Amino acid sequence: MNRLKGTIQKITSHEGISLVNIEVLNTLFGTVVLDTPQTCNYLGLGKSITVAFKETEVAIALPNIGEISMANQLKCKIKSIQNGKILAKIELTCKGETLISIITSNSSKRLNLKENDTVIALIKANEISLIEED
Amino acid sequence: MFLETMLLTFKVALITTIILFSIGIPIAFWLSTTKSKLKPIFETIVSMPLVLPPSVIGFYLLVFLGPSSLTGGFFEEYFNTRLVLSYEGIIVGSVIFSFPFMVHPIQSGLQSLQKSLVEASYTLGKSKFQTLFYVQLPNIRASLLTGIVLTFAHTVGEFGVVLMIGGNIPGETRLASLAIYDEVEALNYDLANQYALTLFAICFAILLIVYIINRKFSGVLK
Amino acid sequence: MIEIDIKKSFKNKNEKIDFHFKTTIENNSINAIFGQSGSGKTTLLRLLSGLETPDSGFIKVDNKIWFDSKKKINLAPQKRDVGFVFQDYALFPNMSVIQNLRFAQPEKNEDFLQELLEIVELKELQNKLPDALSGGQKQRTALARAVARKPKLFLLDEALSALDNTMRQQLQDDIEKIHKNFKMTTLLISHDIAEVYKLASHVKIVKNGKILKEGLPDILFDESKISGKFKFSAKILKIQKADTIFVVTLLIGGNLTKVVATKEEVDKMSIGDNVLVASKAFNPIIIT
Repeated sequence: MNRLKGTIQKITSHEGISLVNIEVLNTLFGTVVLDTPQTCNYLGLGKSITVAFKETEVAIALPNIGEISMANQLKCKIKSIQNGKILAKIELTCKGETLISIITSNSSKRLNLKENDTVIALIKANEISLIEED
Repeated sequence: MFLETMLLTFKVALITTIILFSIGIPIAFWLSTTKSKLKPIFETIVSMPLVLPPSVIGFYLLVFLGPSSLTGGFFEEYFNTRLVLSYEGIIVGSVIFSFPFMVHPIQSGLQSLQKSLVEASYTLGKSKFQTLFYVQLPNIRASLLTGIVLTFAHTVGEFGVVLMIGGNIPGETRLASLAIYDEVEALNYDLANQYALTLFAICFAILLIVYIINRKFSGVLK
Repeated sequence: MIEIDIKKSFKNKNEKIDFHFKTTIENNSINAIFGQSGSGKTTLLRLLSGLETPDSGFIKVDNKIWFDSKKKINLAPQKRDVGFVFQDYALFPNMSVIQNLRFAQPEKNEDFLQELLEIVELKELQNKLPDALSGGQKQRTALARAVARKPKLFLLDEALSALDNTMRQQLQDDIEKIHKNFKMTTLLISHDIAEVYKLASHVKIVKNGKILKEGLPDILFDESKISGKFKFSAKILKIQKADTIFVVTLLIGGNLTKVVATKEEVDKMSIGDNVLVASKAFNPIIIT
């Protein structure tokens, strides 16, 4: 699981569902949760929080993508690539933090990914969990 | 004479066992539950007959129960009973001497019984007395039986205390174990053998029955 | 209503543990006590039943005082009118099922006992000795026995934790039936979130000898500090390498599931570990 620290910037709630905007590595992340500040005590403006998402939920795009619905985008550098027969594990760094993406080996080859390439990591908003800081 | 001595022996053993059974249960119960700091002292007193030479106990019983002693005098005065060199005396001596043989098995039986059984009974509103009689004792039948048999057999086999306090009076305090000694002294080996063989056979039979019953109990109670 | 404010200290080796339970329990409710082992759940039940005595404080049940250190009142367990179900069943081995139940009744009421046996489905086995019963049957007998005297307070000390899943569910149904019939105020200790949800109307989370949080069963979800709503406690059964990732086989509530993980994650796991499995509520699909 990838974990990144962030700060809650904005919470929009409606009928028990909230869109939470979190600043992570100078980028504004969005996530949707089935909670509101009333039901969950770590949902509060300015609170520190960890965003967590599974490696398999991290998509990779080359820098020159056009418009896309996925708002959570991080500009990263490829640190290493481990190609398997089916899956490829790609280690990325972004502002000193490490995250991992697991995509198919075919896609990795199709994009011609190499170490030190600059890529965009994309995470869908409903795949991000929030973990309360201790 | 032979029959009289044998009957006397088993009568003494039976009465001793009955007395010890009735006082051993409350004492074992108290020892198994008490949190008193004096517990080790009481446990030591109960166990003393296991390690002391019988003649030591016999000697002190003579001293403390003799007609000139306080207790002896009291019994003589108010109950018209002499506690030394008498039938009553050997009962008292046997009770004291066989004490640990009754108390120990019952105490360890009570202590090894699942604690929650007693607690369950208490939460069901049952008093300590009801719990002891309906829950604890029925579930330590094997320990009770062990206590009874050890006490009985031990009293039958007792020599030193009985000799010291009873004084070997034929028909009154002369028990089988003493009779064997007497007959050997008098070189009546046949009679000695008759006593010995009878004691051997009876004790063997009792123990055998106990082990068979105990196996049944432990079968039922796991 | 039951009001509790009790303190008790234990010395455990070099450590001194201070318990302080302060809470209220509504009449006729089923309350789950939830918490890790060693947190003091069992102690709370034992203090309530009188099997252990608090150092100070009070226990008040409908304005009747069970314990008050200031007034020097301490009702014996016999006087407290509780039904206690022990983890190890605590059935009297010398009594048959029906005799165990009869022993528990202050006044004879055979009809009520037969009704109880009907509820816990032990009518046919009522003349059997406890040793002839299975674990589930034993615990059902213990359940019926604790109810036999119609106690004010019904206490279950991890009564179901020794049973397998099917048995457990049956016992849960029995507890529900019993509560529906007799409406006793119930406190049950449980580790199983599903069980708590099924049975309890209130939850008290116990930690380090104190009631950390209490309220509706929903508060359990705040306990694990992750926002995902698809959460289960699971046991790791197998870890297998698959290509560049790993597949972890998990046991969740009697079902086998598989979750993928990276090497870094797997390095921190061992077989038999109890873990929390979480996912967002958006991912699972429901097939009806």
